[in-house]
Amino acid sequence: MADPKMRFLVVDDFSTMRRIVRNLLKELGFTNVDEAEDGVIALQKLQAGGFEFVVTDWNMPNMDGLTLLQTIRATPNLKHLPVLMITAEAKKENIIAAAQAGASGYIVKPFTSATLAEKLQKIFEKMGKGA
Amino acid sequence: MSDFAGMEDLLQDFLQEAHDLLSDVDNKLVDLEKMPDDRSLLNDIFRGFHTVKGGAGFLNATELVTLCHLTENLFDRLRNGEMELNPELMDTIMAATKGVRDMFGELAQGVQPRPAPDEVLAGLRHALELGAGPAAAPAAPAAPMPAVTAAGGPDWNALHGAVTGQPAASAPASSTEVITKAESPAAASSPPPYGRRTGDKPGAPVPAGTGRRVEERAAARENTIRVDTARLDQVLNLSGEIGLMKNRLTSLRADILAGKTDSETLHALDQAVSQLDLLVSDLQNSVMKTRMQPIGRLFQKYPRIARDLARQLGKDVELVLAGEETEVDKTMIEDLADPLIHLIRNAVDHGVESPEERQASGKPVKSVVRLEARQEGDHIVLIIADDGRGMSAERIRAKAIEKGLISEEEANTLDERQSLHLIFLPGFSTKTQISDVSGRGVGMDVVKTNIQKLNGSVDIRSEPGKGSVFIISLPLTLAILPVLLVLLGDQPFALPLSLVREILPIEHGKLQEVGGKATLVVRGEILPVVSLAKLLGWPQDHPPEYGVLMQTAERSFILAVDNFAGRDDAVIKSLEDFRPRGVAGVTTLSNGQIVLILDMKELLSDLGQHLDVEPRGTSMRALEFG
Repeated sequence: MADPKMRFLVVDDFSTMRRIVRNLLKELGFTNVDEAEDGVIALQKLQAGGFEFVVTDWNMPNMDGLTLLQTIRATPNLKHLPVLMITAEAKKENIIAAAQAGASGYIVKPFTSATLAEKLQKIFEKMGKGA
Repeated sequence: MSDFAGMEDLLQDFLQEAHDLLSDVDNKLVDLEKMPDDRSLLNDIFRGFHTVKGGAGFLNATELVTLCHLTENLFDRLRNGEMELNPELMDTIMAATKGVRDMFGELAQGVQPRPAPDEVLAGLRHALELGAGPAAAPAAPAAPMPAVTAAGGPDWNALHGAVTGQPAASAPASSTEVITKAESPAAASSPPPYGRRTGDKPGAPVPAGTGRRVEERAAARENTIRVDTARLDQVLNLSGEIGLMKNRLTSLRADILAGKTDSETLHALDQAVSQLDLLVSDLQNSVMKTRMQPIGRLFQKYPRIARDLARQLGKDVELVLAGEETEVDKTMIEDLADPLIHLIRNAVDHGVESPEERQASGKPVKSVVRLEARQEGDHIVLIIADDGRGMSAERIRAKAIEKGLISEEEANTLDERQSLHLIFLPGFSTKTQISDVSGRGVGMDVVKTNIQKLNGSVDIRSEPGKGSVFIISLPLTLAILPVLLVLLGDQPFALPLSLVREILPIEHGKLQEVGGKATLVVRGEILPVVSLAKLLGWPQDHPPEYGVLMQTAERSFILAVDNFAGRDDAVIKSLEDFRPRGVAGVTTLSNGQIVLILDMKELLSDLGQHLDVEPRGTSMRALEFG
């Protein structure tokens, strides 16, 4: 598995949800986690540097997760970042939109740490291949 | 017992945050009625339900997920212009919102919510079917959430595999696994939860004899608090400073114990102690501030309550809020919730006239009820004002006599204000017909008792035809009370400083008897003189030398004492089980002596009976000197 010191940014407007994701990551051994409550704040934090993985909700005020993803992919110093989208929707068009925007993975609420581990593992494998 | 073993923290967090979200949604719904096409409102409400749904999924609260999902779909259609808002739809949405709130209540009691009432779910599904355009017709969106996930799952995995170049082989299993995992605990808990009859439906009128439910609710009271981090940092900072000061004192103590008592060391000691003094009082203030919450959190839910009630009664009422940012002690916010609801209901139900009546008297059909909070010095003032029919002192007196609450003689001695206050008597209700909303004759007396428990007071102003105003006055905090220490012999007593206006010597030559009462003229005002000793039932062996001029909104009087010892910030320790009348609590002085803090409101109310209400000629025990 990946480096447990890997720095995550969890983006969600609902603090309970941020805490859930943070706890699930902790269960998987990732404790270096920061939070942002919408896309705008997330981008500010990402620009400040140091993050290696983004887990973001879709539906948020100010800037939603899809726009955040698109912005990350369009920003030279951020575009390599893995982005895992979390959403309560499993609608086809959402998945297509996320995939087209360059999501590294897509996970539907509610999920368990096992599911999260599996998604992360897949992304890590792919990153390993890419590198 | 709880359906949420191991998830209590998560549940607490969720409930707190979701409650706020829902209150916000409620207010936006009220706004939406005025601006049904406002996209950003529709978006926000959509997101509110969506977010609650997401969180509920993690709690396995399937029924809550279903209800939110349906409502969210409805708002998705609305914001995309595929449907239009109409009054029936609004009622459906309101019922759904209430359903969500009821489910929060069940969650707070540690049980999985039961399904929303059939009519609510049917209403939502019906609305969705009606609104479904020819293009967006699949039944899936209207079906409960898990079904959607199941239907969408494999699709997604295949797609994800295709896009990311990963084999999709193991993926479908994982996705369905999520669903089964999510569903099975919910299914396991779906047999009727403990203590519930299967026939019960959430949202159905609660049957009589629901004392237990109320108790349960009280037990589920929030015991967490959200604090601005800046305030916490301040606390941290100050405790750090105090730590440093403690080190300084320790080293000074070592010096002094070693015999180093030159003036420089003593001066340093003096300085260190006075700095510690400042720091500790700063820390006390900062800690107190962490308990302060904007009262807006409480106000949020009232516009909706007022609206629902007004609709039910066929009235047009707008609840206008002001001063939501006013900060109040957290425990006080909780204890204010019920009295305020009652006063608002009272205003909408009894205060405001029917549209016809308003029209006939030349008033605008729409009435305004104002709920306002503001800080006045060391007090918080809450105002509930309506522009309704007002109260008639005459009618209230007549009603009180008819109900046998007071005698005719007593009634004749009451002035306008005192007459209005009769509505706070247990068993008083001016409406002959009992409405199911606020007219059971319980309530107003409970309002008053609850406010008094918070060391507060309620006052009423009313003008027939113009409306009524209820004014609640509360102390800023319950924990620290600035007091004046007075002495009877050697025994100190503490009086709330907020009531003290001035201290004056009592020159016995100037005491005058008016109608058998001792009075003193202070700058042209004749004030009754009350002996504290007599009030407490102590022997008065020598005439008191000092008077403390005490003033409340209602009356002023001079409390006669032997001497006074200064002022102090009393940390109140309550006397939970043993509380003699007139004693608010105890505090400890710097020398370790225990002092009773007098409850002037209670002592005053005793006094009030003697001064104002009782017919002349009866006992004047509180007013005579030995």
